[in-house]
Amino acid sequence: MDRGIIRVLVAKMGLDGHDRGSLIVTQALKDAGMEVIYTGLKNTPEAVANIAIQEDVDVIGISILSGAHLVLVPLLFEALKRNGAEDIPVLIGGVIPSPDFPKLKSMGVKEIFPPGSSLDSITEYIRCLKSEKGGRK
Amino acid sequence: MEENKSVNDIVKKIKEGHVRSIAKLITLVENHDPISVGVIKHVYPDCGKAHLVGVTGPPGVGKSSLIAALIREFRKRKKSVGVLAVDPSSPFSGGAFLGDRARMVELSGDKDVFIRSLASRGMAGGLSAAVNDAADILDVFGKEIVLIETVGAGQSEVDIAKIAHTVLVVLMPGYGDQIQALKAGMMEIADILVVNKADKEAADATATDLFVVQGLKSKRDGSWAVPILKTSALSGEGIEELVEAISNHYRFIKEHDLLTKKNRERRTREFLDILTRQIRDEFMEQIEEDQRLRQWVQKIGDLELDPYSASEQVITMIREARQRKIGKETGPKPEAAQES
Amino acid sequence: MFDRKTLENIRKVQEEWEKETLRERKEQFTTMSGIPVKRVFTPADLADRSIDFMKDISFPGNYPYTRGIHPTMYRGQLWTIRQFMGFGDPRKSNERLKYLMKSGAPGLNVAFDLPTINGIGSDHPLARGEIGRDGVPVNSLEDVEELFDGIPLGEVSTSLVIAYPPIPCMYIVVAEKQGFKPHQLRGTYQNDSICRDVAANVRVIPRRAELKLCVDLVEYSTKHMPLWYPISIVGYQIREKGCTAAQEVAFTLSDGIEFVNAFIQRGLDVDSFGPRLSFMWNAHNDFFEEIAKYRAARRIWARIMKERFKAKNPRSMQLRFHTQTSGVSLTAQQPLNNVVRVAIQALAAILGGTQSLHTDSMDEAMALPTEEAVKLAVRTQQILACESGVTNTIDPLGGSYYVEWLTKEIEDEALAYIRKIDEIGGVIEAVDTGYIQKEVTKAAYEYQRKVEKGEEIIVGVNDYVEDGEERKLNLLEIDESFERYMCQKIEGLKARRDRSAVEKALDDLRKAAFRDENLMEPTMAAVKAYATLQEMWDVYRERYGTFDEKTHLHGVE
Repeated sequence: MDRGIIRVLVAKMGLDGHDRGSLIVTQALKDAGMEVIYTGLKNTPEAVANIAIQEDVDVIGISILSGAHLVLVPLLFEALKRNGAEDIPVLIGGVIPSPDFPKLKSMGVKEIFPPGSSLDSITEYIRCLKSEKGGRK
Repeated sequence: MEENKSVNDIVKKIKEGHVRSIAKLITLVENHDPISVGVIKHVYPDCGKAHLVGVTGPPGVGKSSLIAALIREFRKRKKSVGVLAVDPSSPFSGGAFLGDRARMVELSGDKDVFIRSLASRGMAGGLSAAVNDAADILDVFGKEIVLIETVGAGQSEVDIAKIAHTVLVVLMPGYGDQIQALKAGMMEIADILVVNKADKEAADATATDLFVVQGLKSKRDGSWAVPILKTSALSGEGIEELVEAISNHYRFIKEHDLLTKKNRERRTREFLDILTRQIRDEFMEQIEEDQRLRQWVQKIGDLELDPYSASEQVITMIREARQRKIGKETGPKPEAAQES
Repeated sequence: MFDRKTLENIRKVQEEWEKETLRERKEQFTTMSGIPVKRVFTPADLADRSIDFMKDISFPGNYPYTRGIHPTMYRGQLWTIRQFMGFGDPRKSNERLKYLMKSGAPGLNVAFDLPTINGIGSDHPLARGEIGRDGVPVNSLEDVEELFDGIPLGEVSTSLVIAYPPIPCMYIVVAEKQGFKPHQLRGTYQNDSICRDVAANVRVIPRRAELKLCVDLVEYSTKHMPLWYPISIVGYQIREKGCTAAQEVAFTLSDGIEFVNAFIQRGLDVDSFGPRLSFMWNAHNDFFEEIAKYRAARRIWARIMKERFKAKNPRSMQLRFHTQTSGVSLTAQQPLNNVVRVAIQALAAILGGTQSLHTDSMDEAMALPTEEAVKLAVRTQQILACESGVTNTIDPLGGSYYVEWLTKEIEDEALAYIRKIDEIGGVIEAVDTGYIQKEVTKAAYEYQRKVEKGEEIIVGVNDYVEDGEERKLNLLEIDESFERYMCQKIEGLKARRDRSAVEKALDDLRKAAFRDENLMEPTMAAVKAYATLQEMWDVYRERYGTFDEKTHLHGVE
């Protein structure tokens, strides 16, 4: 049984064009045995939510380096909620000033990975999330 | 029973068109979860309305963009569309980069388009074992067209032909070696040949080459003349004609009684695949429990036992094991004691 | 450079000297880009690479310009301090421009925000949350007027980090209103659509259409703006994406080749635009590698312009460039460390002979810089210029056995890539087929792995880590007030302006676009009528279509 294979959505929202981080993370997650759906650039929060649902991902990884996170992340959660998918954990990576961490967490973001976070820490965190969920229902 | 309750719940949700449930069900299918088997058994009789269209070809020819263009055209004609985009799993890590979705992002908001990326998870033919069931689920969900995208990996691409009613083989101009690779099998499965990126210079030349190699007759469907179409997914050129050709092919196979034949072949093939897999899974389970089996596998590896003999012995063992189980459940039978 | 006997002797002694296996800290030492580095370099190494003083090194201001493009370099004129800036709204950015000029940073260098770069207005749905975050928002001529209010454009040198006609036209019109003619203006447009595309992932219209607009700008500029550099061919961004130093050189110069070809195809003589080409490089961590990189780039480009494009004017062969210190090398952890990093990177750029320089501020790993932080960045350059003595002579590292060897090494590697891209059919083709993206993603991933294995150390991040509170810096805040202000402005503008004049101008622009004419003059007319940026861009999009983001390849395997 392939119970353990983790599916991750790596998405970029808004006009931000920096994708070095998201491409590296995608590669790392793939090398760690996960199936990564990469959406490319310039996605609206609504599109990201829809994709997460259709692909039934275990976790949504958002990369934002433009500073627009405080505007776009709430829109993402709204879209997830509208479609009954607010249980999908959301992680954020990118240039996020630490004063914003508590705000994001209160919106529902599970964890934030600022620059300097190791790829292994991201991979491990996702694995823990999945095993906490206790396998697939 | 608990399981039955879940199965019924899920079946209800699918028929209601609840997207999240469908997505989760496909995941269960991918994981060979018994609940999904229960659901499939339930909905199986309702299958058969969707037109399954396979889209294959070498990497880089623009299959995903072509599919996006096809979806738009189908949607103009008010058809409900499903897409299964299959990408290879890494043989080393088991992970996969599922990037086809990125080409279809704008369609994510359309309620009548359902796109799912699948990793091949060790299947050699470039397809995922889940494709059959996933296609059935989308069928029952109400999708009139189900596009199945796979990477043409040279010789092993024929699997798509065993599932799809219509197979599109997509190529690109000026891709010199591809004609060679095609002779290996891809040409034979094509119902429609598409030369994408037709805005490139060599498009006409490639189309001509293909015409020569392909000849006039289809290898699959007798009198169906395989059309060679030029498209440009970016500009939209040729897409309407392609959709027409796809509809024409479906009409053709229905009129010539080939649809039933194909479905039959698909289901038979599916049955054998499932059977093989279940037997193999059963065997793997037995290895866990039976030390004898483990030793055997070792003997094969050490060249002490040839695979044929081993296989024959294993089949015997499985029979025995089953008999033992039956014996446990119903009490010892006189014959059981004579089995060794 | 050395006679055979001397070389033989050197080699003999070196062999003796290397006989004993001595313990070193690592198995192998490499540059940041992965070039293996020997313990010591000697004249024999130069001889082995056939490096010839007159042919390869020569004098500053002499072909192939390895040592610098001017005979006097910083002894004649120091590099321009040109700090990249732009945020909030035009008023805020105007304040910051004046602040920088007051602090002794005379080169203006303006960034535009993401919606502006993408050709959409501040009131567009996709602009939500993005206004003024990493550049100035500009919706119309009004905004550029506000941006340069009180700054006489004929007396400054301005770099506009933007491509395509609208904003350059706005700049020219504002200058005219101030009383300055186009031929008096000094500065640069970035105008490098290829770099924008591949490295910054900014794609609005299809690639070849973007190139056409780029050529329009250059054609106009060549005729009307003799003091202006209408293009800055950029390597900074792609290096930030993670490629190696040699790749930075190769991909950028291949870019340059593509542009030169396009300009020639338009009918421009190579020597008419050659002297007005400029480049932009990254200044990254590996000190000597960066210096060698700049030298190699100059040498390669000089030869390309002379031999491949048959330029006659020496100024066409001179690679003049601006440098920006690497943003991605800055850390959020222990931000004061960044001051040191930037100083070293800036020094490398100076020893590499840059014409202008931007130094990052210490807080830029987390936000746009505060006034205090940017001032320190400016002072860094001033201290290097005035106190370090490195400007007393030109190309002081020329002749260093290591640096000359490394220059040749990078040159050879870059040339191999350039050849490969030529084979593929040029840089746009290489991008369409994903070749460049693949190479860059691969290099970036390998580097990241090295960092995580501890093979590459980042102080404060994977070594010398401090737990607990990171130093609290006062960070620059961008809030929604900018968005509201800009949206209000657009509303007000649309109410005030002459509707029919705008529509006529846009219509003329549309006709010119469909006739494939140079779009500078028609755009300028639309700008004068106060058409909005988005309105002009919508016309471009009508003509050329929108870039299909979905077809872009990302290079993940």
